[in-house]
Amino acid sequence: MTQTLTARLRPALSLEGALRSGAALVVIYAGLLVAFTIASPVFLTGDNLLNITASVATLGIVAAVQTAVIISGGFDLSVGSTAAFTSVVVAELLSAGAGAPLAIAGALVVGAVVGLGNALVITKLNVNPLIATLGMMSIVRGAGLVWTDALTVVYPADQLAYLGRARIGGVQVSIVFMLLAFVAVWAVLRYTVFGRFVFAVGGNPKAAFLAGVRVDRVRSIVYVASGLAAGLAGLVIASQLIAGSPQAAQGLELSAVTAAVLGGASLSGGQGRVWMTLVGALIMGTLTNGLVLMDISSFWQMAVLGVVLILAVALDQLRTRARH
Amino acid sequence: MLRCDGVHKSFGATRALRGVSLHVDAGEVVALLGENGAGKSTLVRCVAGEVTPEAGHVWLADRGVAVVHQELSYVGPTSVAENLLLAQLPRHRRFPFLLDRRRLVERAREMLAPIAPDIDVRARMSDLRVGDRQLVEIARAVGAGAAAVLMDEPTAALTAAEVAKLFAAVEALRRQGVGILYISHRLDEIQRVADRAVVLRDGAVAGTHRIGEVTREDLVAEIVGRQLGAFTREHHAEQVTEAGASLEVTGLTVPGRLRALDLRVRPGEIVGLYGLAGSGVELVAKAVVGAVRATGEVTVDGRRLKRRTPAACRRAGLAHVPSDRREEGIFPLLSVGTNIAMSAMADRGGAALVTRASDREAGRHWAERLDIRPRDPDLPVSALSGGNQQKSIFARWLAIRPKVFLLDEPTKGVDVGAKSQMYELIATVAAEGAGVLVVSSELPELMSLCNRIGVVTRGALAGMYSTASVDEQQLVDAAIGGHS
Repeated sequence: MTQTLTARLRPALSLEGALRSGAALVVIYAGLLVAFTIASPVFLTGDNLLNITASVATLGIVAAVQTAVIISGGFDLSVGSTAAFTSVVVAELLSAGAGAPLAIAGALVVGAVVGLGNALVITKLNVNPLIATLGMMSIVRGAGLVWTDALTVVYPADQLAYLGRARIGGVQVSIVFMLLAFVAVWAVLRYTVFGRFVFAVGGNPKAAFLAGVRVDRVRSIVYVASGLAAGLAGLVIASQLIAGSPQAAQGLELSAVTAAVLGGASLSGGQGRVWMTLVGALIMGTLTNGLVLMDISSFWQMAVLGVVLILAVALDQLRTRARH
Repeated sequence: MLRCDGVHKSFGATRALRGVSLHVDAGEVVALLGENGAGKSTLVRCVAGEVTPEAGHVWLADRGVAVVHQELSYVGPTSVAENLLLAQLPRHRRFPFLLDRRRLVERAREMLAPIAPDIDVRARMSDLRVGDRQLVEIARAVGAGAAAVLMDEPTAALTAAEVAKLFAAVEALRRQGVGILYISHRLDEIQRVADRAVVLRDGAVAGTHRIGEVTREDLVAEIVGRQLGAFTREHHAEQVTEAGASLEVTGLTVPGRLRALDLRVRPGEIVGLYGLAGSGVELVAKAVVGAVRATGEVTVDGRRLKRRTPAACRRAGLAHVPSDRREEGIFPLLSVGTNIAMSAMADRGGAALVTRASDREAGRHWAERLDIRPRDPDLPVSALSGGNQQKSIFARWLAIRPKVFLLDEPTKGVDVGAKSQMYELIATVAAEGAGVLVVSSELPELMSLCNRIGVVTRGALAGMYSTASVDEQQLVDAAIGGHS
């Protein structure tokens, strides 16, 4: 009896088993919460937790779709720039007197267009996704800076409050948007044929092609979705700032990739779990918040972010090795 | 120079070499003949030291052996001279961290002089023709001091003029006292360059002959001579309805690889395609479904395909089981059920809903019908044996009830039991009215399965034979090309 119990527990207790089940990540997160609670008296207060969730909202929205992009064997590094550019578009539209519906539509169109651009460069010109979206990241960031002369664009504060600032029962609306993004990506990946294709294309693109899956179409849709998510993130940013900033969301793409990889999405494609990405995003948000509370400069935060990214990828390698 | 004594080598349950003994003397050219799978490449790998034999010895002269593989290894963007002397680039006398370009060119010219004096050593390697690149590789091997050279299908990609140059080089090496083991399918070439021929069959030496004391017919008979497989399909002509064609291919061309191939597969018919390595036969199925760029027309069940992509072919009812299961067939991380459900899902469109349960159901259904073991649809497909993986890929296509099956090496790496199950399966889909095209390098398989067998030689269809009125020897003879 005891023997069978230990036999059953062993895989969960081993490093490999823990890595696979994602239990390790939750434990790490819990540890992080405990550490910051001890280190800072303000950390575990309602207001601060809301701060964390607010900062996680934009990251979560793009990280949810980024997970799908990574599962499909790709990458989208352009999401940060696109979110910033979108916030400018929203602010310009609102300050020009166009209503909120038009601003929202504009944001989503901008996101979709950038996503489509990525898709075309990757599938038609056969450019490696890393390079294609890195280029797009620079193009879109540059475009935003040129358009605004690197200045923040302010719009009337009575507009668009519900997206980033309003609360329902104490919870920001933006958090609801984020959760909706996670539910949507989860449902599509798990319950649609398209979702199966995303895994198939990431796991073995040649086999998918030969099995009659339209690989290029699948990849294109994934990048357009990622662009849309960036557009939505831009809306939330514009609402939170009550302005559009061409310099906003710097490093958002790295945080999103880190969250997804922390959550177990494999950089070689074909593997990943959306809900674990949420835990990854929470870790990122909590870490940033905790460092702020501990009065550590934002420059150091950047460095810490890099360390976490590298650790996450190293963890992915460890997982891959454990599998073989 | 080179001597093998009783070399044994197994891979898993397959005994690739069963006590092979042969020798190559100084200044001698020995041809190594045999069908695909006879053990030639394993012997090459043993001699090259890439694999270690379980029993027996490979003896090499002090200076070792150099292997010129079918896929050449060179640094394309650098010069011929640098490629020749990559391992010992001459350094400048006074500044040893600099390259001595003058000596580099001189020494490269010396190395090339006996073999191919007309190649410019300052040219870029990637700008040379294939044949010249090969000569550079040979010169490098001999220049590095190899006493024996092993050439694996050296003429597979060469033009007639290049072949003549290669033979001149072989002659030059022979005069220098280098021993050469020459592997080729092309009997006419062997009769021109070799002194002796060693025939491998089923991992053992079937015979050794002096060229000139043996006829081409005897060599072919010795290459083929073996028992037929256990499976035989009743293939009477009347089973096949004359009317219509399941698959009609006209003028299928892949530049440089396939030339204007015409094929017709009638409903209920199994047509085989046979060809030696490098003949282009391995490209036919992929060219038909548009997985490699090709021109020509494909008609499935009377309807001409406008766009040829695997997805369009799937919709038209054309199934393609690729030869490289691991690289092109399975989704290793996904479950057996999802693997099987993939093509049927593609038929339903991306927006259709599925659940894990529906994948599992598909897996269970087909595992039952095709005897896929273990019967666990949740298992990752990579955990199955080769034969069961192959059945899963087959099931993927069966689920969409195709009108035509294109099967590339359907039993490659499949154990004997699963093999006969695959044969029965193929016979069944044909009996149910599908047209089947089987590309295989195993003649007994084609002989027992097919109504007709086409032979592809140098990218073209050399002949189409009714299985009832042809024997293996004639097919091998046609595949080797040349006469008849």
